[in-house]
Amino acid sequence: MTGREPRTPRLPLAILRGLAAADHRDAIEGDLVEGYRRRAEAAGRRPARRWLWSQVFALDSLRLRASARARRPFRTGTPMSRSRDRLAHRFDAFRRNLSWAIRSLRRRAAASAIIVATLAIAVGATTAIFTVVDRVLLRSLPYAEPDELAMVFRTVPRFGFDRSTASYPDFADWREQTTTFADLAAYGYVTRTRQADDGARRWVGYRFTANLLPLLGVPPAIGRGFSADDDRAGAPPVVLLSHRLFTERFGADPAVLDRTVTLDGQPTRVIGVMPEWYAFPGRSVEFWEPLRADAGLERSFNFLTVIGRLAPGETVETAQAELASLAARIDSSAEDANEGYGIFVEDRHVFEVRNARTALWVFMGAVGLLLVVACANIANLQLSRTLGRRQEIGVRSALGAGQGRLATQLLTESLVLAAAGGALGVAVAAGLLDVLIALAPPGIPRIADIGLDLRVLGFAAGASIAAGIAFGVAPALWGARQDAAGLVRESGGSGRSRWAIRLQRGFAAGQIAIAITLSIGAGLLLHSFRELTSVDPGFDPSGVLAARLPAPQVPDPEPPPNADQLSEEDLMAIMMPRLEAAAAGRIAFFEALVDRISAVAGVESVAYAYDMPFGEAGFSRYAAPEGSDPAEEMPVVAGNLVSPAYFEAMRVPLRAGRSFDEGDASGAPDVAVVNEALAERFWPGQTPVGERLLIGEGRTPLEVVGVVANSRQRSLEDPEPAIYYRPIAQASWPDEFFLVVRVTAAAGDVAAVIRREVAAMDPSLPVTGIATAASMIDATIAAPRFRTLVLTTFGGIALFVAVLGVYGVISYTVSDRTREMGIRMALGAAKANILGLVLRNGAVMAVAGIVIGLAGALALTRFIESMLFGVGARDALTFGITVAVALGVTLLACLIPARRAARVDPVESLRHE
Amino acid sequence: MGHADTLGTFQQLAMLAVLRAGADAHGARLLDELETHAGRRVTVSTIYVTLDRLEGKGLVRSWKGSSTPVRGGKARRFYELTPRGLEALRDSREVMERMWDGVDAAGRAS
Repeated sequence: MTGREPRTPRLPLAILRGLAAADHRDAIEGDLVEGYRRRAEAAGRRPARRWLWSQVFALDSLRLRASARARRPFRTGTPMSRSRDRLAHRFDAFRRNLSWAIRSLRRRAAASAIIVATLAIAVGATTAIFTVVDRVLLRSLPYAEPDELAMVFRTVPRFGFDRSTASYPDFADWREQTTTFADLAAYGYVTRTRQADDGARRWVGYRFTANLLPLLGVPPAIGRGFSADDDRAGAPPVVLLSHRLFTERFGADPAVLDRTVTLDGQPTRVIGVMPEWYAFPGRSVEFWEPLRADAGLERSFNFLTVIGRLAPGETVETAQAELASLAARIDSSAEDANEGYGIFVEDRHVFEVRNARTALWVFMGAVGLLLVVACANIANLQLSRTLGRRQEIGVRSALGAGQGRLATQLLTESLVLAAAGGALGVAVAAGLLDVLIALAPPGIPRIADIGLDLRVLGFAAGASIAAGIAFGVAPALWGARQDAAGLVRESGGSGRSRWAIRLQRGFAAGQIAIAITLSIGAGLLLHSFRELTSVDPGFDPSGVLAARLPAPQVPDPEPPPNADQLSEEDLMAIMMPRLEAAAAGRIAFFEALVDRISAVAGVESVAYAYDMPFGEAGFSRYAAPEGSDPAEEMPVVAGNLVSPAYFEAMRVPLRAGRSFDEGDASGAPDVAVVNEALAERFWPGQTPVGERLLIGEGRTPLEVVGVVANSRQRSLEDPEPAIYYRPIAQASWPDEFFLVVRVTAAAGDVAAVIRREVAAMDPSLPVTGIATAASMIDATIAAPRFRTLVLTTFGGIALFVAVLGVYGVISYTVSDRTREMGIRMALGAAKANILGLVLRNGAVMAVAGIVIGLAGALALTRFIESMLFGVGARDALTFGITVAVALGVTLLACLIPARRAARVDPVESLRHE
Repeated sequence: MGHADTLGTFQQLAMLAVLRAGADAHGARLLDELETHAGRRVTVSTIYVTLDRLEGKGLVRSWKGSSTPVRGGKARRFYELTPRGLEALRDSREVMERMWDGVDAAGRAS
């Protein structure tokens, strides 16, 4: 073929060659090629292609063969092979069924459109959710041999920690001694401040052992990974960049390799960039650096997460057994023993999806049910249509169409609808997926990478074909069962078989049942979400703006040159004043910053603290009231370090005693303020002002000077933890703070003010995470909000579709029984009787559906029990309201046809026949 | 013979298309003729079935042409009317004209 000529599509021509008998094959093929080219040149390829397909589709090979015989009456035509003959017959039947189906669907365009739309919504929702479930839950991790990866956690049963971190020496011992793992690697969170020409910026990253990347089987996209040398103590600092940082900060210029960036004041060499998809251990990571075996690596400093690759033949269970006994042996022989610690080995994939798992399976179940409702609804619509065409079918049957043929035709019609609904459903799915990804709470692994793919398209096609068969079979069976003679004889009217009536009512009741089950689940989540959002956090978040910033860099005091020869006491005596001076410098900085920001118009109060509610910094310490038995194990409580204005700025009510003031400085008596939960725990029924609280294993005494109200700290769901507060001036060790600013409604851009004032004092300090306290709380309820939204949408759609279904059945019944209604009214039935008759009909379906739906809900709501807050899985109120709403809307939907029935004019209805 | 060969409308159109196409009367050309002059979108199946019937009655005859590259190397099948075919077509026209005679364009008897 020459380049100038448009190439003829091969598939239609191949079909043509397969079907046409030899007599005409060449001539027709030539005609079609010629016609295609002429049209392609004149009107473009698309119309030409359409023309070609329509020609091939309309190819009537059987008639052609017959006519070819007629052309040469005394010769037989070229014999067709048996297989070609069968193929031609099949194609012919398919062609006829298809064009018949399309014609018949066009005649009932509105009803067809409803079916296609219902199906598109159900298939679309199913596909979108399946895509998420598939990518997050079913598909394996993007690492080499992902099934071999497992996490090794520390557990501390007495604190309730089931996935805690390990120390470097522990990790090193495990790595050396394990045989169930081929290798172990470790990583820990780190942030660095990068000084660049355009100001300071905080980078969030991880330090990990050099063997982590080879263990995962992920090489950097450019440059090199870490080598064992980078891991050694004192090695020159190097860093790997995330693809995002590489693009956004370095213009995706590969020349960044071997460049030096300044991180925390240290020149650090960029040695590589990770691939775009790589997000270990999470999406927000911006850089990775080697875990140099130099600083803070005592056995009691647990900061590392451990991941390993199982040795061939080993499983999570064998690894669990080995690591547990190995760690127990090491723990008992170590000097600073990790008493009461345990080990938990968990599959990496299971670990990654642990939080999203339940919700995703519940969504999957919910969309599955929604698809079933849609199918039942469509089955009913189809059945009604088939019933409405009794005569047409009867006539066709009388004219010799076999039952099998009629059933095939009806089935083809259903399949055409399913294909249209499925195709539209893919579009719906793509849109819905975008919405899901945009609304999804953080913490669903890999959700940002999700896009519709071929597997999912396959699922959509499968789902829609299954739906097509599901809703095509019942009407088709019914249609083919009809007694042709009886149908032709019949003159319309009430000729519906009991079988069809029962089937339709069963479908309608089934839809109500599933909708009730889904709606109750959605109702429970809604109720739970309301409970959650009406929880009083114990402070007033409105008008509070928080920013996170590191303490200014005060050089660590130099130890004296003869430090080696000094005793610990002497060294402490020399170092303590120096350390205190450094700490005082930090406090002075913050006090000055507070003064500057307080002076801005609209700022009510300014405070700073180590942690704040929903700030996720926090620490915990052993604590006990003075006078408790020293032999008893001390409980662990949460702690926070705050500036004097903190309680005022957060509006945490003071219950007893006093708050902190300027007098609670370094050198003054050590004091504490406790919350009510701590007071109740250590001094039940008393006001502990003046009591002493012992902190840490050293039992450092603090005088309790005040009691404040409880406030939620990490989530609205968890009850207030016991907390003690200390004046930050008396602790002053943190290197990162929350700046808390309460503003009046009239305040301008306070975020800009904070940035400006911080920069004015020290331009090297990066301000991060400026957020309102309200938005920080909001972030913690993103997951329940998402779940509630998704399930409520499903429940709503299901209920709507189900009610539509009941409406359809009742409405059909009414038009079917117009004559009967007329007779009843002629015999003296009142309008109210007719109304009642129809409504009773609907109520029977609704009640049957509700009973089954309630049973379903009772059986299924336990799966969402773990997602509920403040509501039981069998909450009577939610059940009651849902049932009432469902019953109400169903009867409302029945009222429309019922009123129509009551308006029937008896004379008209009888003449109607 | 004549009267036995009462021609259907489409048969007449097909034969007229063969006449209009002259020496170029093959399937693709006939489809074009019917589409442009009769406003009929026809499928190849239909045209060949019709021509087969007409050939069976001896009203047209066909032969295979040589293959051309523009058709992907496939030969054309050419058609022409037999004298009997031309006569039948003319008869059909006369019948129609006789019937129209005495009826005006508005459909009233004149």
